[in-house]
Amino acid sequence: MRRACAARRGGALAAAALAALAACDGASPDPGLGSWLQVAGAQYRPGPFPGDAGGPPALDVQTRRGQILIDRLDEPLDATLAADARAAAIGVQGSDGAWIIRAGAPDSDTPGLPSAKAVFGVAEGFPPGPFTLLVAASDEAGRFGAPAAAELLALHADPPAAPLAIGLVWDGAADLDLHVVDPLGGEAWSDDPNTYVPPPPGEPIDPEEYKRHGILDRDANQNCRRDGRPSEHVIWTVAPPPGEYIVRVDARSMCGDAAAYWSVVAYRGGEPIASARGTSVPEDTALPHGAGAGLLALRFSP
Amino acid sequence: MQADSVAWSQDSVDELDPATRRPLNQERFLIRRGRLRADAHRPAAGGALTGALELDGNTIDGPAARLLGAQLAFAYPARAPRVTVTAGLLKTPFGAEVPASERDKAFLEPPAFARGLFPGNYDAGVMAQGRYGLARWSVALLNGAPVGDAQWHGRDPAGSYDLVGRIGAAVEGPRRLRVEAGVSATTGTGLHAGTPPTKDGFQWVDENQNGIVDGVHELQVIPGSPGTPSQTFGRDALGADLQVHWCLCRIGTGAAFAEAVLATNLDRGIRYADPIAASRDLRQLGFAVGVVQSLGPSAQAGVRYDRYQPDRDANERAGVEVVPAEPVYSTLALMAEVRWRGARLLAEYDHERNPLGRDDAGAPTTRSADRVTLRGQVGF
Repeated sequence: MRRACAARRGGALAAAALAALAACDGASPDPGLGSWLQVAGAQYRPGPFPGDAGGPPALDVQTRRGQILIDRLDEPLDATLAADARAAAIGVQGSDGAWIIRAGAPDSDTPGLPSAKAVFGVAEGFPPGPFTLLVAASDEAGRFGAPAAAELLALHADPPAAPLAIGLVWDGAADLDLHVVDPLGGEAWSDDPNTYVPPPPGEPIDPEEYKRHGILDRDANQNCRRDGRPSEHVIWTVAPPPGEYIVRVDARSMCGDAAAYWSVVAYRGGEPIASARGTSVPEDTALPHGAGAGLLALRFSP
Repeated sequence: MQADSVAWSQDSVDELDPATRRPLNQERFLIRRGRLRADAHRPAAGGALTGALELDGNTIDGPAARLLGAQLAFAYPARAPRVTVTAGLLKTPFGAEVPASERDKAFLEPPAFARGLFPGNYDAGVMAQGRYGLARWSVALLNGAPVGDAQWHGRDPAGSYDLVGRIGAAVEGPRRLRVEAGVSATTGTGLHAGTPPTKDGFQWVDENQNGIVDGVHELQVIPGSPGTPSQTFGRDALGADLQVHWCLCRIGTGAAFAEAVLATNLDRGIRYADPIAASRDLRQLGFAVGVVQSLGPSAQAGVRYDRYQPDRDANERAGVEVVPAEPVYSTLALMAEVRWRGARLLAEYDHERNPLGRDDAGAPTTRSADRVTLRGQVGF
């Protein structure tokens, strides 16, 4: 009986020792993808934003714009920290979760003061409206100081308010291409991003003419280099030619995905006028990929 | 055959890696090693001609099958050979941990320095090894691209060969005491990959966020660049190992071991060493110490501590200062095992430290990665 008790005590001690070993310290393995605030290349820090514990203060924080589009990760942040700062935490006031970045070299206009630079964004689901971005500096011991704040406005990215815009949106790694053929026969796609058909050789070319035709804004997930939420648009900034428009979706590569669910929407003045949904599968990648390629998604007349 | 169950892992998350899109879940069942080995022997010219083929199947990154070892060897004389010459895909003869059989290892995985410096353990080449009295020696000419090489995956990118060797001694003492010690060295050549020429491109930056290309001021030209040639660089390592085996008659056999390695530009598994890209030599230091004791005929327990610095001179900017970064990988492994005939059931707790996280001061710190693993192993 005494031996059994000793064994149980020994087991409990061993379990407690292991628990102590495991729990002593360590950064979170959570990549922080569930957080509203996203900071590229930073360490996620769960829990509330760190309070002032007597560390070095953050002196200033600047962003490029005062308005942040929701579901984009493209806003540069530049903060100036007190001289003894080693790192900075970035967060949103009133929201759990912060991101740690190493302090960088001083900027030329603030010699002797470390900087903190990052690219950030707010994820889908973030409430639109004003919010406060916080940056707090920490010293060598990890003590945080008073934060600097930037008042920003989060907005939904509305579809382009152009006379005509045709968008392809999908989710995943696949490299899809939007093809749009206008009533004049011009086709815009990733290898020829304008519906403008140049005049025959010998005739003069108006250098401003391309602006009067549909222009492709990007080649998303190009060569399987993944964008966050891939989308492509062909946009007319002047009144589009009347007639029938043809929209096709070409699956260049599935990039390892089993299927790509996409939607195509045509907007006139920002209002949807036609739409379609579909799925691309690996068999679609065997089809040709040049001009005229892609499976028909939509025909419409604006 | 080794089947693992990672019962608990601190770094397991039901999420995908944002960069690689691989699952971050670690708590799972998997076949760590399923190996099939065929050996053939034939007497020849007073010696013995042998051939061995070893295939491995595992589910670490999904079901996979691969050639693990393929060797031709001539041993002379046939009984108690003094010299053996082997050619093919073979275990790198450096130190004690790397050439040891996976089947007989007490701990689940190699220490970090072995995973970093000799990833996968196997490399292709030719090796001679032998013994004379107390002395043990081995020397090999290898591709220098081990099968687990993180960049070249076993394909040799450089025309030169790596020279690897070990010289040691094994001394038998009273009461079944045995001491083995050795010194190992390797020298060779690695390759810094050049870059291909790139063509001009452009990127649209939607400055006013209206979703429209407003003009050329929102288009940034990304100029093309000419290609750069690949370059070779030197790499080397020096290691020492010591093992003491004993037998405590009423309890069973036991062993204590220690191994240390100093290397330059040799990491090919954990933090790939490329001194051309880093503009300086990358120096590595690793060691492991441990003890294993049998507890009767069918149980064993052990503890091992290993520590590995893939870049001893690493530094990084922290505000206005440049401070040492000291990336360190270390593991304290506690192991218990029961054996029954040809089967083993192992449980291991790994307390890991690594430089993959950032603490509140922005310094590298451990990204929690402790784990408990159970392994069933059957050999025939």
